[in-house]
Amino acid sequence: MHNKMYIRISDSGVIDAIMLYPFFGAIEVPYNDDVFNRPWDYAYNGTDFVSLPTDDIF
Amino acid sequence: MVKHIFTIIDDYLSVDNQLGERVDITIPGTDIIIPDELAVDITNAINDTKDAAIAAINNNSIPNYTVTITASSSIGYSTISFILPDIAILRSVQSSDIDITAVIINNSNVSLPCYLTGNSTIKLVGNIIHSQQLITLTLSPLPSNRSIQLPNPAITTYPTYPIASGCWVPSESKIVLLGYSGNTNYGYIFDQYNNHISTNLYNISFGLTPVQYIPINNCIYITNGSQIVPYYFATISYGLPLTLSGTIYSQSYNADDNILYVGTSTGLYIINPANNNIINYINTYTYCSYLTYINTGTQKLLVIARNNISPSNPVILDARTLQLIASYDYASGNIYTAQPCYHAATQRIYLAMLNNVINAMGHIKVIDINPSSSTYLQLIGTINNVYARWALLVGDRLYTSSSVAGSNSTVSIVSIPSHTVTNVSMPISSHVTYIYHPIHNAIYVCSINGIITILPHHA
Repeated sequence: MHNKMYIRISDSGVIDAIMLYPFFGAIEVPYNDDVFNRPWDYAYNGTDFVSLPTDDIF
Repeated sequence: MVKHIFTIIDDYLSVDNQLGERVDITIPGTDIIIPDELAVDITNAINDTKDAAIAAINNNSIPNYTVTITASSSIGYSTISFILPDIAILRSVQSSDIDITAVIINNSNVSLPCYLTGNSTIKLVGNIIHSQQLITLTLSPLPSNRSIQLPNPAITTYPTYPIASGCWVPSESKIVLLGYSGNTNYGYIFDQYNNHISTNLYNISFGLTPVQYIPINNCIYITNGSQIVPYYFATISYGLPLTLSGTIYSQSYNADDNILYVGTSTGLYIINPANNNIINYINTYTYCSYLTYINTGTQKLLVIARNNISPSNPVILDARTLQLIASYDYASGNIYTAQPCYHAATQRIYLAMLNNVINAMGHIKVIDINPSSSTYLQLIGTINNVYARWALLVGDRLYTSSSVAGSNSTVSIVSIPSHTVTNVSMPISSHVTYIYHPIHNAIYVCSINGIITILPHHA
């Protein structure tokens, strides 16, 4: 089980990319299974993940 | 001001006593009027010089030098820090001792190439593999007051016939294309120069069909509906057509065992190109929209992207036994998965996906297939907001493109090391096929609209 993950946030606050490993421009955050599997449904405000209105794309 | 010196060398003026006399004339530059013809020549000369400079930058022919760093950090994910005094462009950071995932300069994550302004604090983040680390930095020197603006990719376009698909043919040293079947008159084979290759046409009209080059036979396998037929370049002739069950969607060639995988709506075929016979057929996995054979060195895998069904889950099979190794619950309904792409350096599979109905931007799933990794066969990441209907991976660049419907025309270029995305606008096109041209080092984006767009590939 993972205890951390890495996210890169776009200028608009949505998750640009998410990985279990560090990558360019990413910040380390606690692992969140929902966010990791559906990152397009979440934004990050610097502290917490915020649910976005789902468009049920995936 | 320009000073000219004239010497009288003849007696044309009948002033013999002035022979050999020198006359100095100074012409003030501000009073010179340059004729239009000369101005054009000068402008062209300046532009030629500029183009040559850009070409030199593109060809990486500007001078480089290397700096070697040694360290002895502990194995595992960590950071190696050092200060570099150079004023330069940092072009690459290479090491076989650390799998570098990020480069941080003066506390900012950067993508390469980037500028070093002198006495930069550099941190390399990544998975340290060996206890001693040797790191090589490649730099280009810069005067302290100069910078070089790296050019954007120069995209060129030219018209051709409506294209169903195509591939690079090494024996011909050119891209070979199949005409689109929307008009049966276009159902022929031609090349990237708009020259017809085959005058001995097989009686099929090419649709949106996969085509695969087979080096051992110097042929391409062409599909149409449920038929697949080899076309041999040496004899300029077709072999016998094979009729398969269902509609043919995909092909992938296993050069290690010289077998051709063919995916259809009903299952998966294996064909022996040496004798053009069917070896095997399994119907366990239907709607095999894209197939990718992968040899990692320790594993031989076949990745199947399955579209048009629900759930349309991608699967990974053992390429020889066709036994299931992994399946994924990523996609359902109208989700399309593009050609699975394998990045050998990281042993990762990149799966581009999008909703084929709403044609929105999609995303790319990253799967780890390194058997020595703790995340073997697991989803290890997602890259969001990319155009994701078609996909091709060359070197460290993953090219994905907008919807097959062609409602917009953008290519997303994903840098694998950084997972950064650059979107490049393209001329209007649809039903595109990506083909890498190794001699031109460029991506040929071939469209059903009869347009070929050339996108330079930058390593």
